[in-house]
Amino acid sequence: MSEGPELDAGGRTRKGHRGRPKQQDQRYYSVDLERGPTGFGFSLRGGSEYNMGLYVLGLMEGGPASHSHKIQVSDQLVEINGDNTTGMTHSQAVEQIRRGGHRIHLVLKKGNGYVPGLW
Amino acid sequence: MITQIETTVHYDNGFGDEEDYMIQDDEWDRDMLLDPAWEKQQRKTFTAWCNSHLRKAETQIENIEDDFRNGLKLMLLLEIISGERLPKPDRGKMRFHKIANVNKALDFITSKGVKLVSIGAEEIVDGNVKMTLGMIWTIILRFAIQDISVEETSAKEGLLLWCQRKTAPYRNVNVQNFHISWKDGLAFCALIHRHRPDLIDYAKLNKDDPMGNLNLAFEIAEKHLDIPKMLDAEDIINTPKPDERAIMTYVSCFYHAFAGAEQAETAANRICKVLGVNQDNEKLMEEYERLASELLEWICRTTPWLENRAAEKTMVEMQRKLEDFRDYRRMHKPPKVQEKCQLEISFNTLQTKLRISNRPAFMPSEGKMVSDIASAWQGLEGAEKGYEEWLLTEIRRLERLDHLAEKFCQKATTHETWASGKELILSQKDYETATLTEVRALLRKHEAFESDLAAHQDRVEQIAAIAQELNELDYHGVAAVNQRCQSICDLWDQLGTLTQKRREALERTEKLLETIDQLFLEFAKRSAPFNNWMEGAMEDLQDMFIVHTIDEVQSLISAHEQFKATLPEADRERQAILGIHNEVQKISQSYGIKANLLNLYSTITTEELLAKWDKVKKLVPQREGSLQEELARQHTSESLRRQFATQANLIGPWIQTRMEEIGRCSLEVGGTLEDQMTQLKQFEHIIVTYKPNIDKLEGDHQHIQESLVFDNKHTNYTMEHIRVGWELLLTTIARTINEIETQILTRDAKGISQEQMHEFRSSFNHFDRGNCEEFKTCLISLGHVGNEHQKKHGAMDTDDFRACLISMGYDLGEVEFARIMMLVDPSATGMVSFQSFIDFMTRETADTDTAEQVVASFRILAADKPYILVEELRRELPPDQAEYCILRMPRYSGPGGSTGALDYTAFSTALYGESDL
Repeated sequence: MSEGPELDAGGRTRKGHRGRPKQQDQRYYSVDLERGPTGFGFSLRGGSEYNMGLYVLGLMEGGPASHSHKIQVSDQLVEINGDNTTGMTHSQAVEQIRRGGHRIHLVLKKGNGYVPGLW
Repeated sequence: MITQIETTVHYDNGFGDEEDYMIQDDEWDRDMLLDPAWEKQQRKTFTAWCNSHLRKAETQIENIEDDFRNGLKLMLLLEIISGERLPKPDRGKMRFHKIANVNKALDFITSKGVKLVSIGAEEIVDGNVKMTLGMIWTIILRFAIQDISVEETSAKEGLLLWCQRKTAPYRNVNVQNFHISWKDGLAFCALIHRHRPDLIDYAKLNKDDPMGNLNLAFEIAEKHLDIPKMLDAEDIINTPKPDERAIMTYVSCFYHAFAGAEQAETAANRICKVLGVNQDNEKLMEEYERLASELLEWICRTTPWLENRAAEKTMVEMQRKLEDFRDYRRMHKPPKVQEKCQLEISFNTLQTKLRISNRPAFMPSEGKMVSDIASAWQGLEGAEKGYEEWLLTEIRRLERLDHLAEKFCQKATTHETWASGKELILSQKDYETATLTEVRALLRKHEAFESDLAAHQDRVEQIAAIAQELNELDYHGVAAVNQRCQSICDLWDQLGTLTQKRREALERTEKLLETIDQLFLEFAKRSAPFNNWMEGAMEDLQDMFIVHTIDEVQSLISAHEQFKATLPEADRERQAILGIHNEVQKISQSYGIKANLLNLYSTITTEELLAKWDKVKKLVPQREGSLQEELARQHTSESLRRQFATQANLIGPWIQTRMEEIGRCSLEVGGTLEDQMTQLKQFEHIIVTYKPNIDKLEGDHQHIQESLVFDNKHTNYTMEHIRVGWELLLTTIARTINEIETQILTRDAKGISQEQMHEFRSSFNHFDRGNCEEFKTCLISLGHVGNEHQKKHGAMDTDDFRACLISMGYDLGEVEFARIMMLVDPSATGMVSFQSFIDFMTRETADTDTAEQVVASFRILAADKPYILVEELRRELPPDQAEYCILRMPRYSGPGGSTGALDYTAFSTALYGESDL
């Protein structure tokens, strides 16, 4: 994860805070999803083995993720069920979500509409 | 009461109304016949009267008409009352004997000039009461009353007048007769009180108590005046008019009782008068003697006191003496003057009295003559004269003495206060521990004290002068004064001596300290530069030289030799400085200066100098040793440098040559990818076999580093250059081979022709112009080669990329370009690698190979099942690929999955990094 200097609400430059994202930061949000008949209704791209973050690649029409009205394509997964995704491989992330059962809690960072490619 | 006495009583008044007592004798019979109460009174009174006389012959009568019948007691009575002898009575008891005896008595009465009218002896002998009472009355009248004659009056009148005179002072008594005037008894009481006031308290008497008054008077008369009770109070009270004869008889007894006393008194008075004169004279004589003695005694006592001119010591005593004298003149002497005068008067009076009373003249005892007294007095006056003047003079003298003594005391006290402690201060050895400044201050202070001392000379002289005057004036406390004066003078001399001594000591100390100060200054002047020189020397000697060449070491060694040559001179300076210090020590020790001698000019101590000198001395050989060591080390380093430089100068250009060869190879678009690959593999082999040269250089470099050699003028190459170059060479050859491989794969996979690949390559290379110059660029960045223009390597920046796309016919809007950048540079590094470029270009030119395509391919292998079995994979795929899939595919968990069913969909999406969730 490579980010520029983060700005806090007061506009001052914050350095050295690369740990847990702050809830008040407008770019971050959290969402709880209930598993539907075909899953949570979103697809994921990326992982540490690709030297990139985990991004929402697509939303299944009418699925739980789409219903949340929060999650957008290109949003980046930051936390899965309270675990930070930094260093997580693609399959670890998938396993983490699947193991979570019927309910997952996600923290995401809003994207700019483009999902990065794998290369 | 005496106060009630009326002085104007007219005794003659009313006399005309009274009976004529001269003719009353004729009426006796008639009277006798009249009142039985009177008879009773007369019987009682007369009997008592007779008995009052008869008791002198130790006899008495019981019954007045019976006891006088034989005439014997009658004769006895007459003898007693007259004091004369009557004819011898007849002793016969016959009637005629009795008559004869009575007649003898009657004859005696007649012989006394009393006419006995109608009283015959027979009637007496017969016991005729009236005759007997009449005869007794005649006797009473003749012997008890007739003698009473006051101012030529008759007996009765005389008695009455006596009574009136005696009772005149008593207001409530008015004696006009011998009957009713006596009824209330006050007249009797008044008579008694008049003569014997001691016997009766007249004031308490009450006129309305006749019984009490009468009884009181009769009882007192009987008891104290030897007057028997002749009547009872009742006899008087119970009759309207008491019997005159009875009252007269009773009163006559009072008259005789008091008149006798008066006569005796008169006689006594006369005797007393005579004796009194004598006694008076004697008393006067005694008085004179006494007064004369006293006066003489006083004079004799006083004269020496006045003659004593011994002066008292103090004012107070003299003042008291003056007071005593004042007392003497004002209180003691004046009465004595009077006494003396009185004595003279008494003496004259006495002599006159003696002359008048025909007594011999008075001769005072020896030495007490008037003349003796006069001469003694004269002596007193003589002594007194001048005494007061002497006293005043003496007081004035004492006053002056006291004043002088007080002045002495004041001046002495002032001086003593001033002098107190001065001795101690002057004896102080404070200069021994003082600094020069302090000693100078002490000296100034001492000079001030000296002038103060000089000023006190006058005072001491004054004190001595006063003491001298006190001596001359014989002051009583002169001993104490002299002692005090002496101690002041002694102390003064002592102070003078001490002052002189202290001055000398202070001046000597000042001189010494000045010398020391000079020495200190000298020490400071010389020690500071010397110390600086030593500090500089120490610094130089300990200077951590870092040299890189033999020449530098050599120059240090020669500098050190030069320094060593200066040491003897420095040692001489050191000894000179120490000499100064030792001189100070010597002076302070030999002159006993105990002050903490602090060199104010210098902070440098000799210990410091010595320590530093020792250190310098120690440092010189140390320095020499380390310089020699360094020289040897430099020789070693130099050989190491040369060895490294020779090697590096070979390796560096070799690496550059190889880099250029690789770069040329990748730029040669002409040959096939396979030809390029063959050539690159050859290069790779050459490079790998060159590795020992690098290792050897690393070994030499390690030696150099361990010898702490960091520069090498014999070569421009550092180990780091070689390393970076070497690594770059390795990665370049590997990457270049990989690029060719990738291009071969891409070409084969996407069906891109050799021509297309050349086009992409030449386009990328066009914009990534510095590919083959990376090594050079690297050198530039490390600052070792000339400043050539910097270029990117194996990647284009964003602008280059856009230019490249435009050159290849892409018409790009901002949005579209941003989308492409997201694809080729997902991490927003601003750089586009050739791989990303090719990827992008092939994606844009050929069908994309997606997860869906892979899933569809697996589904074909799995005969449309949603899962695939292990045997199916092994059957359909080469062994490597089959085992790869079996190892990685998760177990199928969907519906209809049998044992060994694998989820190819999850596997496929995971391969692409994309999963449906």
